[in-house]
Amino acid sequence: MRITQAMISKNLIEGLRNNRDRLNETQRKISTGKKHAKLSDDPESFSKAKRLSKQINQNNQYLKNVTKANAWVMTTRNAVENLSSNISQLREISLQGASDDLTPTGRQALSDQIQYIIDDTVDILNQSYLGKKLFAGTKTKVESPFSVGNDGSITYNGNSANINNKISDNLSISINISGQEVLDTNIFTIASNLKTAMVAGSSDVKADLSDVESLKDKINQISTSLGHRENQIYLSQNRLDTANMNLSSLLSDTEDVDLAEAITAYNSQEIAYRAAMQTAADVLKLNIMDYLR
Amino acid sequence: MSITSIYEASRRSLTNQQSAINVTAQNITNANNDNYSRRKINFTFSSKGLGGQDVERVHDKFLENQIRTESQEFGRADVQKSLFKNVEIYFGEPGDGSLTNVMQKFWNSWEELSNDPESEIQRLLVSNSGKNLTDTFNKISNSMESLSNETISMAQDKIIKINGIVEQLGTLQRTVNRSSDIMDTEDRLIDELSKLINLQIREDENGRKSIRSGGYSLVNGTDTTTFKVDSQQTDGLPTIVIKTERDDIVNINSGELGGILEFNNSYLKSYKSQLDSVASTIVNWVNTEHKTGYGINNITGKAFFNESSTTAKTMKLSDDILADSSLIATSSAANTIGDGTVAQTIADLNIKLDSDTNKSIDDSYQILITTISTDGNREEFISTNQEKIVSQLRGQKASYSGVSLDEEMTNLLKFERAYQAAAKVAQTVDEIMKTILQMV
Repeated sequence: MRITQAMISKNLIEGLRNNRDRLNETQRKISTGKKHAKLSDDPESFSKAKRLSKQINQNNQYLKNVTKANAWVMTTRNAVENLSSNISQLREISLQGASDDLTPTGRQALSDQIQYIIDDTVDILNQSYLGKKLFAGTKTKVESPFSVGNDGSITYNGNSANINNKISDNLSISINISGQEVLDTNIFTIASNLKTAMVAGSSDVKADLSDVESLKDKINQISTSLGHRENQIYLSQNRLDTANMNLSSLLSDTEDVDLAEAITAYNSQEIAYRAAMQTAADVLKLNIMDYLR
Repeated sequence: MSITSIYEASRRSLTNQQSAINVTAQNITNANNDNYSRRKINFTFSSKGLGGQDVERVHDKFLENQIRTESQEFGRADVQKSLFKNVEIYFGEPGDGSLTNVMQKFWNSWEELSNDPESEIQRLLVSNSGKNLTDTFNKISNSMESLSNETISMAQDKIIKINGIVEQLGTLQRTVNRSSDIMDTEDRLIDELSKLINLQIREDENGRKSIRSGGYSLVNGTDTTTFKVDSQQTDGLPTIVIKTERDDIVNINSGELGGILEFNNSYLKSYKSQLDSVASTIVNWVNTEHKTGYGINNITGKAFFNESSTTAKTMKLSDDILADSSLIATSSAANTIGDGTVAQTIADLNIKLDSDTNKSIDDSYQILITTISTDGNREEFISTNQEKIVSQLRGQKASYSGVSLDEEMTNLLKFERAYQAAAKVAQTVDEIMKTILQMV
């Protein structure tokens, strides 16, 4: 092949440019830590990375939901536990009231205690968390879900709806206990019956004892169901954390540069570039003119 | 043979070697001129045994045509490569300001609102992220529109260049003397032209060329035609067409001009309509759900996005929501402020599948992005590849037609020695003549 001077210099320039390009690209990889600079460099891995980071993002949102749900459920459970201890007190009082050797003043005192318990129960059920009523169904902004009338009667102002939180792609759990569910245990009817019976006499109290027992069971059931939900939330949180760890490592595999590899490549490319420049300098000096005298 | 005829032979010889040195000098002058084909001197014999000379232009027509064909494809892909870079920048993927991120933030804000449906602040955040979303869609759409306008002016520039070259070629065709220099210039011009537009070139026995493009003649003997750019505004983006002076539409499918046309008329248009369809799906779906819900003050039936602006360019929040974010609906029934069902449904639209296409909003957008990047990637690949092919062919051409200084210097020595020898012959004949004259 005929090789002309112009060809030699053109090839040299092209070779040097290619070397520079490669060095620049490797340098970019090292400085950004990413394999690719723009979408079209590798559409396939970009679209994979996108799917992964979208899933991570979605999971992070679910984790936020989970944290919120957990706080709500735990607060509700604390309240229900307070209810439960009120019922235990009610039971003790009713056992005392079932005894025949109580004076009428004693009975009146116990009856007053029951009234305190009723008041406290209303207080517990009117609790708010972050400015929202815990036991009002979805009418979380009513002034008081349970209002006490002048005659002592109790009205529920909430509804029986569930507040649902999404904690994974296909799982939504209800995080609240509506006031209706509590009302359905007949807690207020039983307590006020007991209060009346307390003044009336021991036999009346005895008749109500079984009601108090069953009330305790019902409240315990509510508490158990909350415990079950806490468990579900905990499991879901675990699952999301693990999933995110795996996804992040996959994402890193897809888009992050292996630094050791990149730096090694940089070194060998630098040597190639130096060698190219050295030979360029030497070859361009070669000239027939030096030999024609 | 007479002695005087030897005088003549040496005179010719001196002239020939001088011409040869002249050609060598011309070659050396053009050693770095890429468009120059080296000249070679061929000595001939006359019947009297006396030499003449003939200068040949060392040139491979087949190679030249190959370079032109490959240059057309290179021009097409190369111009698209840089245009695609622009489109990618508009979408900002991957990055914080990318539409993917902005959309995700929008859906996440609804999810947050569904967790906290009583909150006024969370509603403000939803309306902000919604505004961000519409702004981003507007911005991308506007950028695409201005890129499309940019391609029109690019096409105009190319046409001006093409018409200029065609005119020059016409002038050259009119010259009577088809010298090597004129052929070199013509070849250079056709090379330039072939990077710009698809060409068919024919050459008659006298070396006069006829050049056609897309079925219409550009240069025919000494006649030349000009092309012009026309853009037709349809809905969406303008379509660019190239027309002859008589308003016939020319089919341009290659070269830089072909690349510009293809980019605007098929790629950019299809991206824009896909983007519009994503935008209108978001607007319609969100509005449908939103209208079923109740806001803080139990008002229902309000649209979240402006219902009459469903393209990416015009998309915006509805005036109601902009004026009062408490109208943002979260609950499925009146007086149930703690109910975030509707907000949750809207957040879930993100992954809801369209009943016709079986794709979610996010899927459609990802498909658009992946299409853009694979198209861009393909053109970049073709461009790099074609550049290599063209450069290799140019290398072959340089190897065949280029000037080698080593060769020229050796030739220079050769011709110089021959000149010296011819002079010596003249001197010797002169001495012989002197001897003969002294004999008298």
